[in-house]
Amino acid sequence: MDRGTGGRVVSVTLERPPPTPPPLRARSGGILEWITTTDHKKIGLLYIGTTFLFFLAGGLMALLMRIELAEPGLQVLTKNAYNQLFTIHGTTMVFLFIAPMGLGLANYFVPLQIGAPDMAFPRLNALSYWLFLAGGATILLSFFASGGASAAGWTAYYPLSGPQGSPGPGVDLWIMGVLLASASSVMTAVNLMVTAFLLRAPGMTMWRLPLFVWNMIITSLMILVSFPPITAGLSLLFIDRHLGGHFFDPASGGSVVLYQHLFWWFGHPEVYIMILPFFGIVTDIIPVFSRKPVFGYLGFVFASLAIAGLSMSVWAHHMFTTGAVLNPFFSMMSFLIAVPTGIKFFNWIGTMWGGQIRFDTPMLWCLGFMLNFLLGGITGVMVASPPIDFAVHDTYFVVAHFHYVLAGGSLFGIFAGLYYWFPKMTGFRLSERTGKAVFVLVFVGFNLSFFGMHLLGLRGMQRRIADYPADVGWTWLNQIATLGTVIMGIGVVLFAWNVLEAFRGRRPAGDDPWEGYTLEWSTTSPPPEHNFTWLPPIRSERPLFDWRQRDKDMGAEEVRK
Amino acid sequence: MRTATKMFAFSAFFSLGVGTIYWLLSHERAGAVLLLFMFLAPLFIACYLLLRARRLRLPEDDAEGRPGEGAGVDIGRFHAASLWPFVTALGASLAVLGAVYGRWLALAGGTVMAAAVVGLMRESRG
Ligand SMILES: [Cu+2]
Repeated sequence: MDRGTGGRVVSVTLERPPPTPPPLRARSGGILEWITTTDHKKIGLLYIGTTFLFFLAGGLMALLMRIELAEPGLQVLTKNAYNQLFTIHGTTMVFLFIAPMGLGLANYFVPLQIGAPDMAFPRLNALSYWLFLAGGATILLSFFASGGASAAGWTAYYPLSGPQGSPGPGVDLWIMGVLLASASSVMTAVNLMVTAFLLRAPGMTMWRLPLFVWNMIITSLMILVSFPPITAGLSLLFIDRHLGGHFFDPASGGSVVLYQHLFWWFGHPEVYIMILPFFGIVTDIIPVFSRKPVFGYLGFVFASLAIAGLSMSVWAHHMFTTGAVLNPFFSMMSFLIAVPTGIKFFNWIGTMWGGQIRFDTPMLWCLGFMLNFLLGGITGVMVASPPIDFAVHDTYFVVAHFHYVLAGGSLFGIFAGLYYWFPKMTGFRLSERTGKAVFVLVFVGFNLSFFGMHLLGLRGMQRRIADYPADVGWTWLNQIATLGTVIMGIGVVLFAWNVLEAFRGRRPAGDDPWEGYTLEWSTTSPPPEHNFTWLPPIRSERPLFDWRQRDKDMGAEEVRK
Repeated sequence: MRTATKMFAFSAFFSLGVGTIYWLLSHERAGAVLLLFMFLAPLFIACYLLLRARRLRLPEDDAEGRPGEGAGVDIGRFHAASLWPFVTALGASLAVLGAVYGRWLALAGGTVMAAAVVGLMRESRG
């Protein structure tokens, strides 16, 4: 696979994967095994574990900010510390948790779902992970740099991020960390695409791929076209800061708006890079727990493609209020995205319609996902309208909107995936009762946290403020939000306990605890090295269901004889 | 592979369409250039696939393919373990820290990275 360079590599990957791969030398256990691993499952676990730790860090920052906002006045944080916290909170959740969690789950499950022995480029895969870890560490450890971490917001707008706005090394470390993480994402995107195109098991045609795999292909495509411009933009920013450049400095003929173009060219598609993987996971889970095939397979794939295309042409809806962009164009394109997104709701509802729905934990998270994301989508259409956006720009209304998409949507999708696949990854069963309690806590906590923010925004509370006046009536809504965050935090702690308890309890999960449809459930839990010793014939997008059906039909014939 | 080719071609011509409309309506250069490259990059991949994939018959695209059909064909070596990706990333992070804190760190990082790349190549050959 990794042999030679250039065309040679590709020509090698074009050959068939053997069902029983040649035995490979395994290293002795311990830390060295993890450092040197090229097994997509181990790398997937490293990704999932690391991103979850980053999630805990980002969540802790959110909690600190919410505690500060519970009362008017400054109690626990200075204004500068607050600025650093919301900057790194946003950066962590976007670059170090949601997007890489999607890539981590894909690392583990794309090869399994298509019947492949590994990713196409195993060592590149390992490199992606280590670059991601280096980037994450650079960003989080920048709190200890002189002057603290970047306080320029996750968008790092110039001139706030410029040499006068942020003189310390915080912004530089932020730039470098993001560059490392984005290089890692691009490598993973290439790897996933080549894997999905060229390492499928015979019979697994493109139109039989599980929808998670399809959405990862489309996510990878979006990564490939959206990350290079942000890499360029941040490099230019670094040049402006240290090498005497004036790309963004208007006083010397540069353009501040150019930075915003480069940032949002990446920034908007990134939203879909953070949601499409979880659309895919949810669409794999709902049919299994409704005992029905997915409703509208082709429609779903084309809707994902349409979302990818449209989302690349709406970037400047984040810049309506600059007055420097063509608002009607970007508004129109943004409205259009609601159409393919609506199609997905038809897919999900149509799949559940008339099905025998089982309310196991993964399905609960899917339902929570749909409810929250629906609200995030509706407010998304609202802020896509320039007159509304001028009123609510940079207020808590926008904060509520994108948290309904990214926390209510993506985070719930992540939990759905983790609960669905945990038995496969570890071989152990999670406690259903604890899982349901986690769901209730996070669902209630989340909605308490963020619903009131819509109202706060409409009442004029700006985002990114550490303090607010006591006499404007914002206090009680802020207190509810803080309470909600605490409840969510308890839910996350309970989730950690849920996982630890499963490892301690060691209840065997079996190979196929949910009666799944896709190939990952046909191998052992956890799968062996190189994944499969046996594969069912693949004749539809539900090969395992077909196989079980065949068994049942044959059993019925036996009885009749 | 025809589906992949179509996907990249669709992306390319979608961008061409949107880019043309965008330019005609706005005459704004940054976005137009970005959209132009979003036309060219997938187009390049689509053309490459078109030229290569025509000769390519994959059993996975055969609707009647059986899992056994892949048996016994060498798809190259999957390295079970390699230290070099870790070392490469270590070098890269030293190098970017060097950009912030001083050239000597960048130099050290660059050296480590170069060594790791040599290591990766040796491993591939050996
Ligand atoms: Cu957007």
